[in-house]
Amino acid sequence: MNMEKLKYYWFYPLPFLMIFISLLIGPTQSLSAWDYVLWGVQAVFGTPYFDAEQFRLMQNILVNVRLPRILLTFMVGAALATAGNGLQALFRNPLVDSYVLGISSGAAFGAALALSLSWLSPNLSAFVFGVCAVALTYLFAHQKHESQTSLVMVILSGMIVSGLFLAGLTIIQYLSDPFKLQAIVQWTMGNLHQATWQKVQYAVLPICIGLAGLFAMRWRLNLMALGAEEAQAVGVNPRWEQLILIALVTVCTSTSVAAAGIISLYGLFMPHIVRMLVGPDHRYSIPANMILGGSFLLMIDNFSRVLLTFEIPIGIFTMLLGAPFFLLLMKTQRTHWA
Amino acid sequence: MPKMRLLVSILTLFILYGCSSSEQNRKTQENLTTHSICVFDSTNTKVCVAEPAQRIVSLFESGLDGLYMLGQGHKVIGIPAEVYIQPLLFNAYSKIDQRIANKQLATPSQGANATNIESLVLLKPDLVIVGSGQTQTIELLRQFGIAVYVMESGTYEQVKEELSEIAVLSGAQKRAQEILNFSDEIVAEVAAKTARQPNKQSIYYAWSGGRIFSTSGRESITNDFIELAGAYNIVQTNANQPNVNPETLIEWNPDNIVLWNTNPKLIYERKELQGLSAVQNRKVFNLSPAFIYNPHTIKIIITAIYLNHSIYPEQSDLPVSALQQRILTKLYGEQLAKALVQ
Amino acid sequence: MIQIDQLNYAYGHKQVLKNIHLDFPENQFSVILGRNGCGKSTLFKLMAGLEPVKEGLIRYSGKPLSDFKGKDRAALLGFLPQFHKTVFPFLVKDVVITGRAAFSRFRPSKSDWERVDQALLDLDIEHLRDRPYTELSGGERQLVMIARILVQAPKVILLDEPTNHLDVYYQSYLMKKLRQLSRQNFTVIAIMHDPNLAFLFADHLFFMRQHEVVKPESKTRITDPKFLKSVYDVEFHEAMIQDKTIVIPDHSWL
Repeated sequence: MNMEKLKYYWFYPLPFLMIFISLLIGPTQSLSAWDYVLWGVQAVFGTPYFDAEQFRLMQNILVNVRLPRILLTFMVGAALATAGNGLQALFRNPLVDSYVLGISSGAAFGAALALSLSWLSPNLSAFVFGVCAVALTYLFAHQKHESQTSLVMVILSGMIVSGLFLAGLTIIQYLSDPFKLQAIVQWTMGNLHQATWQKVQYAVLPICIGLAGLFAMRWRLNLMALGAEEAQAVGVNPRWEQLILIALVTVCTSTSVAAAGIISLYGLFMPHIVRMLVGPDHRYSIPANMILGGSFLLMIDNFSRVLLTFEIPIGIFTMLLGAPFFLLLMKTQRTHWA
Repeated sequence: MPKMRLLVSILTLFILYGCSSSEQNRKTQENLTTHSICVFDSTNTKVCVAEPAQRIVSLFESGLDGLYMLGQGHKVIGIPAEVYIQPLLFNAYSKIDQRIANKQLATPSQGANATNIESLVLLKPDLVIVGSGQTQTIELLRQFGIAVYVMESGTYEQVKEELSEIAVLSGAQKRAQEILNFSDEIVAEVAAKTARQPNKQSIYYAWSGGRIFSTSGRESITNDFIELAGAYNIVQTNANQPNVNPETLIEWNPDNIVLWNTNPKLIYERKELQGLSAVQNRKVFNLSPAFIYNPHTIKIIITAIYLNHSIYPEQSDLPVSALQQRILTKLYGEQLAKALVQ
Repeated sequence: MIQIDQLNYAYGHKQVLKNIHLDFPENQFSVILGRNGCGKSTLFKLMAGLEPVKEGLIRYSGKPLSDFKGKDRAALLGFLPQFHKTVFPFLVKDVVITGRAAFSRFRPSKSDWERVDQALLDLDIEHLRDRPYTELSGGERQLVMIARILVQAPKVILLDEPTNHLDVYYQSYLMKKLRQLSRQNFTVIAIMHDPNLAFLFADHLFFMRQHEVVKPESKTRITDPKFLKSVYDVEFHEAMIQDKTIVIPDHSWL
């Protein structure tokens, strides 16, 4: 592989490395990362570093606490970044992220409704309302007499739908007692720390489907990013492809929000960072977003786990860590924005 | 532009006038109360009534509870909306007051933040009890010259203090003294029993609604009842409602886990928590029916007694339920005491 | 090749095309000329399939455009829109290869890349192959877009005002290439408003005025000033240079 191609592929081994490191890291104060390495040695070779009970305790932590959280974080990071990349191609606007279609407001509303009614599952409700929000957005934007749905209209109706759901959310919060209110606010701020195997199971299939679809479409995203008219100019009707793309992005994002709450702006700046590293060609940027998107969120989550004993929602960290990194890249790289 | 300047100066005058008039109203209220009944509430404001209050609106549920315990329930003319909306509260209060069961009492509030000032004022109360979060409501009501008593009940000491202050404002000082003496007795009993224990046990408290990794820190009412129960809070930070990582919980390995109105199954079913000693020794306790355990009222002592007997089960002369009945009878009377536990 | 019969089109109550009747021959370079607002852009949109035909018929090789779907459509018709704004700095080769999007579903094949190289060679822009598209000048971008159409290789190429943003060098360069393409088995149709370039390079000329097609009376040259005045509302003078006629606007007021 020559040096040119290396630029596109150097980060492929990153996920394995990150997952390995993440398993070793945790807030446990009495056991260090090295102890967990020894655990690994004991598990494979049987060298007795720890007594049976301690060994079981560590295994419990690794398998039931750390591993589901790591997997969920990686999946959610990959899903948000790749969905963001797809949408930026669709809207030909590098300033959109996966929440522009109203998904985050719809999902937050769904979760709040479920939390205040308590017979509904918040994650399922979040997913359903997220999808509803996108459907509404598209419905509002659709013009019958025009053959193409204008993308500006889609963004505007996304804002309207967001506003509607946010109003609903505010009403629910206003009418809730302090405990429910706490629960709602905490859910909305991002709750990766409540990751369980069950959540991983629910999220893995939809996210894999979404990512597989986006991967298959990676070359066609180049075409879409040139414009709707440019697509028609070479004999392609972009309408179906737009719909499929929006459906895939919705599945990815709704599942992420349902599993982990709202992680703001990750789907916005991660594709930018990836684009600075591998360029705008989606044949390289889509897989890169999957890999780097997952790894980077995992890295951020590791930070949050190590830094404090108490959990702070990950959305705060994505901004605090992502923003300066993004700024650094912006200043040191030359970008070719038109 | 001269017109702009004129407009700006007129607006500034209005604003200044507006600011000053609220000052005046408050002073008027204070002036008429030189020879009346006064207390200082949790915001350190002097709250006075000319004579013991006869028409009381309570928008703070724990304050409402206190009024019934003091035997002043018949003076209540307005209650917080959550009493009707939350089934737990509605069940309990229906048993306490027939008017609530028949939904006859007015509720000039919608939630923690939504108070309908107009309906409240129309009820013509002479005392309004409010929680400290509703700053705007408090401001407005005081401007109308209505006596507003602001409650917090954030610690055990404060609960006692505020109960006696409400008693002063409603003319039930004797009854309040009775209750407080009684509760001091109970607390002393618990303390004596705990003193006989070789080791103090730890408690991890988890919030309701399945948020088992959401707990309470050292500066909270939860901490107070944990201490009153003769245990210590395994959470060592002062943050009010921190979230913990499950790993941290496993590492702490608390002796007991206490839940609020949640099925202990939720804890027993978690794979990652199987290793906890509290899970293995089945020392997960649920505070239910939540009404009798409300720590923001003097019933915090019921919570303390229940926990104390649950975590140190060996030495007890009376079963917990009998002890609880004794306290509830003291607070509400025998009939209600039995009804509330069902 | 392309037959347009009794084409009428209106935006709301405003009649934009009145009874258009046109015949574009195969493998020729045809140009439609006219003033702004005469309806040429609308005609272009209808011919390109961007708007549906409501009244009238547009037939390609005898079949209406709507009968061509998917790959057949791509093999039939390619067009160059007037404005294209690109946000992302794709490399030229990646832009050109999207011309094969209708034929290669998920990834371009080796033969597709070979077409790209050939197209870049044909237009003399191989040196731009690995440059970001956003760094190119207007003329270079236009050529890249045309390379894209070449890679698509449709039978008919439609262009809407292709020389508008180009400097003199690229204008004549482009017109030369378009004429060459028409000799290489493509049917090229362009909408323009500069008559001289059309006179110099095109095989067939069509004129539009106020939503209708106009023709000079029989035996009148298309470069006849009286006719051109009826089209453009400008006085012209004819001039012959070598074997070609051009027209210049009247300047007697100077």
